Amino acid sequence: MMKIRGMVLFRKKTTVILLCLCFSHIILGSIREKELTEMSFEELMNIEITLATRRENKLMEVPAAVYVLTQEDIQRSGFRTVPDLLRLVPGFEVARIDASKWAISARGFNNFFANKLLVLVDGRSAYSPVFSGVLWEVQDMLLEDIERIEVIRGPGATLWGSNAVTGVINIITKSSRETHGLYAETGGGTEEKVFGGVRFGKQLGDRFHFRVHAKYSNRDEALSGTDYPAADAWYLFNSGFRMDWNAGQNEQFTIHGNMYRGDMNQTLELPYISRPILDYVTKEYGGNILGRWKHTVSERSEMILQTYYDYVNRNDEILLGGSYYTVDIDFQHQLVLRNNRHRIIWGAGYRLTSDNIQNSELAYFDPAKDSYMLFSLFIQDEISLIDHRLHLILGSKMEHNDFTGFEFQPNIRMNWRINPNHSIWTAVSKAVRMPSRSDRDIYNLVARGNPSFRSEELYAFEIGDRFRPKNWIYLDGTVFYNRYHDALTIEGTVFGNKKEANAFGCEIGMDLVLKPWWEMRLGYSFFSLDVLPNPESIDTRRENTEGDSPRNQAFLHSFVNLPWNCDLDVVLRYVDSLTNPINSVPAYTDIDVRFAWHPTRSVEIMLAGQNLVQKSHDEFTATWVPFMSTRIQRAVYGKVAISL
Amino acid sequence: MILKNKKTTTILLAGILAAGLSVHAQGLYTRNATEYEVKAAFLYNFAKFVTWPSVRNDVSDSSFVIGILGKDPFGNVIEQVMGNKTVLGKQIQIIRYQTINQLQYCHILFISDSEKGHIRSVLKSVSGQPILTVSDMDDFVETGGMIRLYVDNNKIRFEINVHVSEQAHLKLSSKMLHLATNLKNYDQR
Repeated sequence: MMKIRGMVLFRKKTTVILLCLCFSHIILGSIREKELTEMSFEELMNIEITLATRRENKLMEVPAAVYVLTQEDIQRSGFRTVPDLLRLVPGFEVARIDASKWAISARGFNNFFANKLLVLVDGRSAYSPVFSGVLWEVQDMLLEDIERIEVIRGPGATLWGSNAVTGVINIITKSSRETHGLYAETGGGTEEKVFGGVRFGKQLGDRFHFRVHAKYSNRDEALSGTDYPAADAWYLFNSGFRMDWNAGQNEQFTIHGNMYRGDMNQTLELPYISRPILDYVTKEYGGNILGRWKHTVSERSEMILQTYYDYVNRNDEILLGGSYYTVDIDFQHQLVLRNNRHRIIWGAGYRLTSDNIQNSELAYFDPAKDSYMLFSLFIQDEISLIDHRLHLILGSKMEHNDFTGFEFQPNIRMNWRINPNHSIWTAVSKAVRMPSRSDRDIYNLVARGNPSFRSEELYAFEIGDRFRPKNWIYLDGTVFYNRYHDALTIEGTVFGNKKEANAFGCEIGMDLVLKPWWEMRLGYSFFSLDVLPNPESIDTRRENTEGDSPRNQAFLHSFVNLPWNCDLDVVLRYVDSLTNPINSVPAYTDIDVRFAWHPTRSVEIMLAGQNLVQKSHDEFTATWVPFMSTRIQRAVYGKVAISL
Repeated sequence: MILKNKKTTTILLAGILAAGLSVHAQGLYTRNATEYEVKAAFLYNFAKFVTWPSVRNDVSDSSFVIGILGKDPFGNVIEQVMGNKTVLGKQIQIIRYQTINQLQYCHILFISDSEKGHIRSVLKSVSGQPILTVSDMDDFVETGGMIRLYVDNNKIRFEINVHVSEQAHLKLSSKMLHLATNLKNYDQR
């Protein structure tokens, strides 16, 4: 009884404090607004402007753990790959396995086959329905052309569909309207041996814009912890185009395409051969083309029709070899009702995937060829309960897939904008990870697929807070509790759905503008996963899954503008240890530094140092795979870029 | 009991601290403002010190329209600053345009830095019309824009391309011309 009363007291106090906070903001806020517009030119010209973070204001209205990496964050990191950039998102788990392979996840279940994170590149899914996971090495583009990377931690299944369980990554490239002229970059160094990229964009007529680009990167091998060399050097070539056409006031067409080709080397350690196979090459190539039509009916109504074709080929005689193509068509309609109270988004989609697996002695699929379809339908209503202050979102996705039939993924979200500088949100959602072909049809040395494998399910509870106490500070914090049902286990030698787990954690991000020439981003996260004992399961790898994620992670990214058009940027990162007995990695702290000089507005000369603290270190030891995990090395590279 | 009291005290202290900090922060606001708050106030002042030729138009008859083209740097700051203000008895209306093709008549057009890549075609499409073009991108005035806002020593300054504003039959008050840091006469290029 005492305890309960204490709780009530606590709540009352919190409410009083919160109310005090809002009132002080409202009263003082209105005085200021009056003053600005009543000032004369002379007075306005005498106001000293304060420093302000550039975090977009509309983020205050999103009831989800959204984090945005802008072009500036990207440029000023000195990182050369998309996976490395994700190290700058609070709570993201990014670990390199060998020179060309990564384990990337959010909120747990990280591995080479991390399968609960959905990745979209300009609206195209990069998640493989065959192997369940993302082939990160081929998700490449001219980093200069990225407008922003939007990251959602936590489920995004109602809008984005299956497999958006622990997060969604949306890589959005710039419109070709913004990339006119010539851009070229080249450079090299110890690990980034040679790279070069070129892009050209132009406007044709009044309404048509385009760009074409090509990029090449050649990377050195990492360091092996054994007597043998790492032998995991790789190269990737990527090229693409984009066209944007404003056919009329209300019609916009976009077409973009990409193709890539690369050779990834690695060292194979096979159980039946005593010596590892060095420089074993996986050849990968693929391409895709996407078209989008955006039709604005009126100010209150907008429709988007999008379709794409994607082909992925991974030529590997031993592991994950094969090819597949995806055809996807997607329609979305957004409308605001007359009373401005409801903003409704609904949509429908169809996806066909057809694969052809390259079977090997180590792993084969039965059948080796298959085609499967996915139908989806979603509706979401954003209800404005109090104008611009209190929003309620209700929505659900309904999907039908060939493996498990119908799946429902609803969510309910609420955002309360206490004042322009403070908002809190909360969400309850369900998301599933659909079985992939490998969950059902694979036969490998340790386990085999299970045709009756069901979807892994997640119920997630989240609370978040966004606060701008002063213009130069922006804070973003999230606490979550995840409950997993029917997660993947290996029952003897067969895949099963007998894992139940609880996950708990928090993520904090902070932007600081300390001086007009000095900005900072900070991130901290805590994560804990508890796989519950299940007497019905004979899978004994409980602590393995638990230990694949670091408990604590933190980073600091500092941007300093020096005189004479120079930048000095530093990334400091801390990643806690991994405690999986077969993936035991000590905690590490690392530093990346970038120095750039812009002799003119169109030239950049840059020098970057990466992973500077140690000569080399481990980040992840992938399990259940025959390739060797290697050590990431200290690296230095230089770059020259021009844009005309 | 002691423990409970301690907890309550801590919560209270934290609350007071937070409230204090927030009032302190707000106190700063009253003397200072952010870049885009001040820029929004400048737009409002331009509205008062520029005379537009009479244009027959359904929209411009009923309201005073400020358009923002491209990626909006103001966010809702502009709505907060302008509030329910009127210009010449007309209610101010803020309209955001993603692309130049959506553009309809507005009195003031603020062109975002995101449109830099094709600023010439943007300016061409509004040339000769009585639309006051304002931007904070580099070389805006030199390319044929009318007013460029820029930050100098933490204060907002502006420069004017008189030639283009005259071509558009806009009358800029002598006070405005006097306060501009630069008066230029560039043709549209």
